[in-house]
Amino acid sequence: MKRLAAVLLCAACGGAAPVGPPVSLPSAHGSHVPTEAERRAAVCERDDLASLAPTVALSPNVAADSGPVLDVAVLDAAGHREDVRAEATAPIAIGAPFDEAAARETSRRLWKTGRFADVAVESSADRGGVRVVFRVTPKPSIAHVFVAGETSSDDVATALRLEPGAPYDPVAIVSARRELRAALESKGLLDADATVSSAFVTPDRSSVDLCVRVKRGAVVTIDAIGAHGSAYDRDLDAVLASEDTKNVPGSVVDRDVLDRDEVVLAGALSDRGLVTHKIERKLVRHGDAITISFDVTDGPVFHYGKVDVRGQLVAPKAEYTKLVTFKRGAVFNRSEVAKAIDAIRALDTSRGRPDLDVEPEPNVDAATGTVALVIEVKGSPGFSTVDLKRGAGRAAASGDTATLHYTGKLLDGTVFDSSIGRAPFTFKLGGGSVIQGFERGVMGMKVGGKRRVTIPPDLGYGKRGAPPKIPPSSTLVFEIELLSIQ
Amino acid sequence: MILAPLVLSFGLAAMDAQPGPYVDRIAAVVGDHVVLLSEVRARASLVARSQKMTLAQLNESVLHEVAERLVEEQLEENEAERLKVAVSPDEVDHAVEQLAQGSNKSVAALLHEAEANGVKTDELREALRRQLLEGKLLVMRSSQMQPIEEKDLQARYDQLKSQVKNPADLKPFADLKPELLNELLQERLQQLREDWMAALKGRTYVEIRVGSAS
Repeated sequence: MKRLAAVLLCAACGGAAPVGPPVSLPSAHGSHVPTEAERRAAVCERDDLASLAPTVALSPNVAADSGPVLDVAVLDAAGHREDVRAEATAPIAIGAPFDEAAARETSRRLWKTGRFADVAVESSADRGGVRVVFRVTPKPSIAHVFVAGETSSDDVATALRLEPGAPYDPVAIVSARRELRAALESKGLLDADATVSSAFVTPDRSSVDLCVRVKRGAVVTIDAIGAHGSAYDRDLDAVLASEDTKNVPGSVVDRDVLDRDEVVLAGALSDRGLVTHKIERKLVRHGDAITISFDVTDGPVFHYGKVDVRGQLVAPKAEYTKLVTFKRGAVFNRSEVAKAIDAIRALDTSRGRPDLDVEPEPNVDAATGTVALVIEVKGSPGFSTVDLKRGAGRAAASGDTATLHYTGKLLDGTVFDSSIGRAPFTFKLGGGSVIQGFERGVMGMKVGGKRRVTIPPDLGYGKRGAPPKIPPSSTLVFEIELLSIQ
Repeated sequence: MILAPLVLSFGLAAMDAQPGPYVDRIAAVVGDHVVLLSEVRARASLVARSQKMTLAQLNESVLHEVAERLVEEQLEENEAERLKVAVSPDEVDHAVEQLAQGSNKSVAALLHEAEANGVKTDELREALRRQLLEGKLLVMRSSQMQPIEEKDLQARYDQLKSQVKNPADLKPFADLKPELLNELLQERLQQLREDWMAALKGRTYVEIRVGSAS
């Protein structure tokens, strides 16, 4: 039972990070009204964001009253009805028995409105039924924004969208601070930092003061970038030079492109049979300069073992095997395999079966230094793609890094996720980091193309779904626009 | 039509006059998501049961730890959604089989034992799904894990040697190597997880409203 308990509880899995003490109120007690200087000191001496609500007690463990729900209301502490959209409380059905799960969902929806600092569910028995109240606490407002640090802090406060009178929203502050840090880093200000602290002005927690502190530091530029430790260092440097025009000496570091560099280098090594290579990225600072090094361990050169194409073949096997240009004993080459797979897909498509999936199943044998490869052609009932707009250029294939926008819907049209309005989504095709159907749907797309991909549950989130957004056994429909492939 | 607002306002006034104790409320904030007190209670009940205690007997730091664990799980779910990482039901089935195998039981016996201990099959499967998800996300970050080299194993062996009364009784390095490797691997994985969690928490507003940190 010990193992079972460990799985269930896993209470020791994470290190318990310390949580700041309850917010100490500045001197608003008694008759003394704090001066601006005192308020500045009170908030700027802190280094954290004040909690939106005080600590709550676990008990009393109050069971909801039984009986049908007679009424649902969203009220503030004074009992005034809050104006919220009906869909927020929609999970609770009037006339049905009180359902805790529905109350949880309603609490979540109320939180997501972004208007409240706290939501508590209360119930009271009344005339054979239950009245349910969601007691909400509006967010405090920002009283004053103090600025400390460098002269550009005012701009930073604006960038963080902090204005007196606006609601105090630590969730948005943390998110905006992250964006700001990324923006500063993209300008080479690697030591830059912006921190925000807050403190309540009054004991009733209705308003907060904020303190914004900024440190900019010097612009850090790249002094060298290159691969080291591989027998193919020069080739890899040439690959870097042609594929990465951003991270060059004299420029500032572009981390997104650096991430892509690793993928590109991995591909180049795998094309030379080095399938068990290792790449370690190192960024070493020397004052205001930074050296980027990809330390490579080649490992042994692998050769093809037995190669076979099988599965749901829709043409004579000979037609498939002639598309496999590599032979047993030759040095393994990832790009060759990807080309063969694309060619097999094209063959299936020409035979009227674009729905068939072509999946390489490599078996790396370190003892013999071989990669046996079975290329499996298989059908996926329920999976389909429709090109809404054809793109141009080469088709996305395994090993590519795809950048795209997507919107995922359930069959009833409910949008469960979308990258629209956020940064485009980037992932490596063939990396297994996304649900299978999504990866398969992007394969073969060209830049600028738009595709609707229908994904059956077994290629999506399975029988269980991904609650609460994706119900069990959901067929998913993604609309995907491919922005770039690298 | 005038009757309806009157009835409504009477109802609200009645509710306001006798506000009941809360059934549920927000126990923690994780960015745009919240962890509810009922969820903390449910998980804490499992902890209490495993320690042969009642929920009321759990101390504040344990409650805080439970809430913190739920916060971390939410951070992981957010990250999985961002990276489009999922755990398939087949993977969970396999994990259940492995857990049963590790306990020298059949799957049916394991599930029966879990049920007898108040753990529903769905709860067990969900716990395993979460662990598998965490594992997948950690693997994606494994390039950031400090590699274990021969010298690390040797240093750990030397440390062990200096701690035992009779160094001569200690098994030879070669014999202990697999154990040392496993121990170091676990430590580095734990470190990797802690660094990752610290990074996630740095990127997300987290507020825990239940219990107090020890």
